[in-house]
Amino acid sequence: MTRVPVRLLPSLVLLHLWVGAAFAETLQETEALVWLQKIANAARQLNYAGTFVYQHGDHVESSRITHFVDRAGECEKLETLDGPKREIIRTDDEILTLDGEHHVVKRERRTRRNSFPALLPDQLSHLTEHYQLRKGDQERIAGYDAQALVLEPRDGFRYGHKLWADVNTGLLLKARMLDERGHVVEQSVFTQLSIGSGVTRPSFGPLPPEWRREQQGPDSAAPADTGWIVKDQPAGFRKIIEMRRLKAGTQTPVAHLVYSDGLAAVSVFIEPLPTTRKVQEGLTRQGAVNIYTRPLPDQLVTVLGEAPAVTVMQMANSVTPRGQ
Amino acid sequence: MEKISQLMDGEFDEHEARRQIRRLELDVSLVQAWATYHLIRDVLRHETGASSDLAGRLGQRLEHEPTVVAPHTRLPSRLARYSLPLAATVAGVTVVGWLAFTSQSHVDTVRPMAKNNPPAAMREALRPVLPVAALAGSQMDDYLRAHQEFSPTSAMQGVASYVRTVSNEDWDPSR
Repeated sequence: MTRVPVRLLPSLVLLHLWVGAAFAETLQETEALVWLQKIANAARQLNYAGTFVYQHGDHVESSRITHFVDRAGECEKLETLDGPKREIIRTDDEILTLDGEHHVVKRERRTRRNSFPALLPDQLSHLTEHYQLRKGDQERIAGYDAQALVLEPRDGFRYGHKLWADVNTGLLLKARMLDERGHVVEQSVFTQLSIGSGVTRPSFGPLPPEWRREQQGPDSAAPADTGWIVKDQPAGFRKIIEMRRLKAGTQTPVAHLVYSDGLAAVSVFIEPLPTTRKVQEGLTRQGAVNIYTRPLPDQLVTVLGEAPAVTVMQMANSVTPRGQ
Repeated sequence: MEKISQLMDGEFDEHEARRQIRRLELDVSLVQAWATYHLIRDVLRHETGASSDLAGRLGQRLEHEPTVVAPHTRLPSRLARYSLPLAATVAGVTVVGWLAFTSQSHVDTVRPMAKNNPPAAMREALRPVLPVAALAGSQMDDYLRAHQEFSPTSAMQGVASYVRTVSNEDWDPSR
């Protein structure tokens, strides 16, 4: 340790405190970023099964989810526990959805598993420009000790997030999105959860033979230059991928562009204007996801994302063919 | 490991990059390497400062895996330069000047809050009024699923993010 003349000590202590405060924030951000990465990895790499409650507005429902991964690949399942039974099972090469209300089983083949890193490290490094990150308190959730993380947006173009992750594994136990007035937009929380051994590969029960079967795919999505651009996206939203896909069950080509600020993502879909039904311009939402549709003379633009309506609309309104 | 480093440096063509990303997905240790590299790079690039613990851990890992960052960068020596002051910070006040510089510059670039907020009147006007079905009907859950594949928020929620596509409320009753 360096020896310091005693008369300098008071000023050094003050300086140290001042610097310490500024440094603490940076430290918090770095720690929070490491936590985010840990959460994303845990979601993909752990075996877990549990019941969670999903809430948005006055709507509350519970679901059971399982995530299983081994050498054969990943398999995940979600089934609703309230209301009509719906299930979705996803493996590396297909998605099965079971609709117990309308007695339909839909099988969608995929040509590729999501080949995207869970969180884009490049984007993570920009996160602190648009959110203030800090660690919150430790709390107990579903019997696990959880570390809270707070991501406060630095402007009105994105929601705030509060996340609670299992201290030991990093698994997300509770997540809450908040609008700029601090109101909860959407929240999900585990009420019961098992992690690790004891979790087995999920499967459908026997499917009633009289249910209608629908086959789809293979999913055609392929990265491509779609010829479309978003001219006026809010600060921080950068295009992370651009692709062409076929609309489910049809030969209709759809352009799909994804923009993200590192945490929130907004998707832009552009398809030929449907001739079979009248399309309205308008805004709606599903939980925290705002959805805005806007007909162009011969195209239909649909923009959706877990971001405030203003963000989704601003992007929809500036969709243009490149070169115009 | 060297492949990961090359991937980060953008040295592969699209095909090879995809192949490497698939490889990355299948191997936990590669994913960790990928995450660590970016952490290292970010710490160096932005000089955001890191906990002495973090610098220490990175240092340890680099010692054990000397090939990790060797091919294209001079990370080890640069890292050493940073981790020394970081360690010293904890010990005392010797590097207060360095710290003041880094944290101050960081604060300056990040602080301006709400510099481009949407006008309040515009935000108020944006109240959803239409049911989902009126806009796009049954195709919306396909769009939602396609979207979630690329959303970092969904990535953190894992399986739970599917709840939006199976939620029983607000959906087209004709499906």
